[in-house]
Amino acid sequence: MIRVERRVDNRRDHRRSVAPRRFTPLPGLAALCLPGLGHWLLGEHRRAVMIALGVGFLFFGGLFIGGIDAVDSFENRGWFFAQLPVGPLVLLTDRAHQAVFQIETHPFTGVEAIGRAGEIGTLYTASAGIMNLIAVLDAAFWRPRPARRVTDV
Amino acid sequence: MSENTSTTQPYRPFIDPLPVDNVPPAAWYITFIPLILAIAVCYKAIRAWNMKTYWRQVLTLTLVIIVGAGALAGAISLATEFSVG
Repeated sequence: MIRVERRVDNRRDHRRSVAPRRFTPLPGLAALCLPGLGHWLLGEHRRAVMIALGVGFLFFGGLFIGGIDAVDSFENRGWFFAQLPVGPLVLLTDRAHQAVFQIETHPFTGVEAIGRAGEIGTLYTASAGIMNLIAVLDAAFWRPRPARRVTDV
Repeated sequence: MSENTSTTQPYRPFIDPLPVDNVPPAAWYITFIPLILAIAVCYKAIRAWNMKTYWRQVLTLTLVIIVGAGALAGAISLATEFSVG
């Protein structure tokens, strides 16, 4: 019982100690340009590295599994919008796909991922976009983390 | 993967889809694990307050999602197996 009350007190203390979110557009834009860069500019280097590693793994893992067809603004427009928050990397990949590899061969016989490889590649790259969108929002509306927190959610 | 790419050109990583034609369908579920791990790495990098316990939180979240998704899949599988009609 005493332990529970102490835990509740700790949470109340924590709520009082948490700083409010503030609008930080530059780190938000930086995070949109390169995953992790926004948190790096905010001084959260470890978080930045982890975001860059996670988003990078998802995006390049998706390209590895599904090939360049995993990013396709023409045939998979809906998925492309989910991939877009990864940043200019997606635009460059799509540009390369449309300009080089779509013309390289006929659309029906070209670099086209069908079946599981295509599905999973698209899912990986779209997950990268969604995770980076969360990172962008966190960097753009930054709440400084206290040095210590009693309970971690 | 198209027949034209696989027969006329060598495999080009990151451009051609992974050349896995004879993989059993169930084996594709293995790709679910690194996907969840990477999502947990990103999510906890944003959400975790205490970075000292970061990896423990990442592993916990990964396990929770895998067990939860597995349980949901099992429940749906059972529901469809024993449903009337």
